[in-house]
Parts: sequence; structure tokens; C-alpha cells
Amino acid sequence: MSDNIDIELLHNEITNIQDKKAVLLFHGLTGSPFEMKKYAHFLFDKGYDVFCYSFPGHGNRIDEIETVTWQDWCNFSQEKYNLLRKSYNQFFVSGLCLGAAIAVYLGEHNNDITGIIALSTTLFLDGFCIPWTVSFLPVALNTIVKFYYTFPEDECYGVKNERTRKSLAKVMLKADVGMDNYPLNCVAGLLKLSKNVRKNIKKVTCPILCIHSKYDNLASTKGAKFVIKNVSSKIKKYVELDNSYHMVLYDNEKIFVMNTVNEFLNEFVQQKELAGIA
Amino acid sequence: MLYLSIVINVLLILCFIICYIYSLKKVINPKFKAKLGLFLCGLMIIYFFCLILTILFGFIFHNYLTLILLLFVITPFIIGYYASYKKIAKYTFIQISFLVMSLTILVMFL
Repeated sequence: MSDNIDIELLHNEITNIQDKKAVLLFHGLTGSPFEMKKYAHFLFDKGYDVFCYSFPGHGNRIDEIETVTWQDWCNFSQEKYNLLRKSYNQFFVSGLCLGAAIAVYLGEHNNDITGIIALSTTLFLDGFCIPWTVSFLPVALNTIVKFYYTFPEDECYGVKNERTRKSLAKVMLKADVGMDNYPLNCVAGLLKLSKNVRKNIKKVTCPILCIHSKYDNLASTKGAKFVIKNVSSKIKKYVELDNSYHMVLYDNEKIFVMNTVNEFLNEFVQQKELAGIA
Repeated sequence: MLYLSIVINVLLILCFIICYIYSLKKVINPKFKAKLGLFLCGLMIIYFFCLILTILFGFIFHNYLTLILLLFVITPFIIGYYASYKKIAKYTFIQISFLVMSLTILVMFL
């Protein structure tokens, strides 16, 4: 099966309606649903319906991402959420990087989310791979330079495992699985979204699980810790990884990450079953 | 300071011309684009500092005409505000025009 067909499969929604529990996944900045593929299949195997869509401007040509704003990403996610939520008893949202910020954003604006799973939450661009030139951002963002400034994809691809890194590099070359650079306009969108999410963080009341690596190359643990510290949720869990970079779903601890997510999800299913027995 | 401003101005014009050509082509190597963008940004910062210092020196030596250079400190931000990705070539051309104007004025101060 080629990579493109797999992406289509995710676009077409893996459904199993009678279970009435679902997870809406969001991919990362300049990424595509491809990066959530293994995670999506894992959740599907555990009995969840999984939905994952490509954000506006993503997965296609660089021209398209330059013309979208962070509000487009938020509106798109909210639309998808509204469309899917009514069909399920239990509805979780989960995302990686930008997707995690969007998942938290949805948590701020919807009280009926069963739970949030935020992976490598990017609320601050302060990872060890962020170049010092990021301090030029204010000048670049306010002049025409913003259209000529880009951050090329780091050679480590956000993955510590060298074998995975090599295979990711090959995949990036042959398929529409993501872009090989981060246009400044797009990074600015993420920063504006992050600012908005930080401002309204207290509105999150649903259970939340944050998984973040201590050695995340793009965003330090500051963002995830900020979320855990400031949300109003009664159930909140923070898990720190120590053998991965940013792409926690592909790195050395991917199995641990997926099992932790499964444990978190199972807590709700068990609670629901116990409530049913009572 | 005036000489430095002129050199930076010329470099900025050249950089923006390269950007203008690439904006018409629409195909660009991301690594080259990153380096060009970074260089452009660095030059822009030095350009602003040079113009501001030229104005200050002008004030010190009672050459109040240098105040006109303030216009060229502000215009990149105005252009940046109105610029859109779809009309990038047009706005790059406008930016180059303003840089040529500032170069002309700087040369007149020599």
C-alpha cells in the first residue's frame, strides 16, 4: 500500500459507529494526517472511531499555507468537532504540536469534550533546535520579509531514533506527507494561536493528558507544564519522556506513549461502565 | 555612517531583486530561501539602525534635511502591513522602489 493511499484512508474516516466513542486527531504544523497514521490505527484497534483531517493549507503546496491564518485552523477544527460530536457518547480530541494547541483550544471553547490528549504541546517556541535568529521575528513579521523568511526542516526531523529519522527523510521526499520547511507566516500563526490558548487556558475543564519530551527539539516542557498548571480540569496528568524529541509518536518511546494514551482513555470507559452497572 | 547606509541600501536592493525574481518563479529551495530571508532580515535591521543614526548625526550637525530619511524607516512597515502573499511581486517591487529612493537621497547627502 502506498503512502498516498494511507493518507486517503485517514481522510475517508475510519468508522465503527456502534461503539459510540471516538477520537478526533490533529496533526502538527506543516504536517499531514500521515504523521498520525500509526496512532490512528492504534486507537482504531482499541475500538475507537478515529477522524483525522488535514488543516487548511496543509499537505499541499507551500502557496496555500501562506494564505491561511490561525483562525482558519481553529474554525476548521470547530466545524469538524460540531459535525462529529453529536454522533458519539464519548468524544476525545488529541493532537501533536500545533494539533495539541488546537485540541486545547477546542477544550477552551467546548464543555462537552470527554478528554484531551495533548502531545508535544507547542505553546512556546523554545526547544533546543530553535535558532537564535528567531529573535529577528518582530522585524521580519512586520515587513515584507515575512514572505521570504522560512525555517527549513531540521535534519533530525524531530526524531531522536536514527533509523526512524532516515526512513522519515525518505518518505518526506516521495510523498505529500508534509513540508520540508516552516514558512514564517505559518510560524507566526502558531505563535498567535499559542498566545490565544494561553490567555483562555483556565476555561479548560475537561480531563487532560499532556505528554511531552524533556528533550523536545522545538518546544520545551514549559508549554505542557503551563497547560497542566493552569487548566481548571479536575483530572489532569502530565507524562514526561526522556528518550524522544518532538515527534513522540514516531520516536523511541512511541509504544509507551500509545499505551499511556490507552490507559487514560480506558479510565473513562471503565468509569462509564461502572456508572452503567450502578 | 552615511557610507555604511549606502552600502547596506545597495545590498538590500540586490537582495530584494533576487527575491523579486524568485517570487515570479514561485519555486525556491527552502534552504536557500531560509538563508536569503535571514540575510535580508539582518540587513533590514542594520538599515534601520543606520538610517536612525544618520538622522541623529544630521541633527547634531544641524542638517535637518536628514529627517526625510524617517520616511524610509517607516515605509517597510507600512508595505509589510498591506502586503499579501498573492501580490508579493507587486509589493516587493514597491519596496525596491522605496529603497532606490532612499539610496538616491543618501547619495545626495554625500
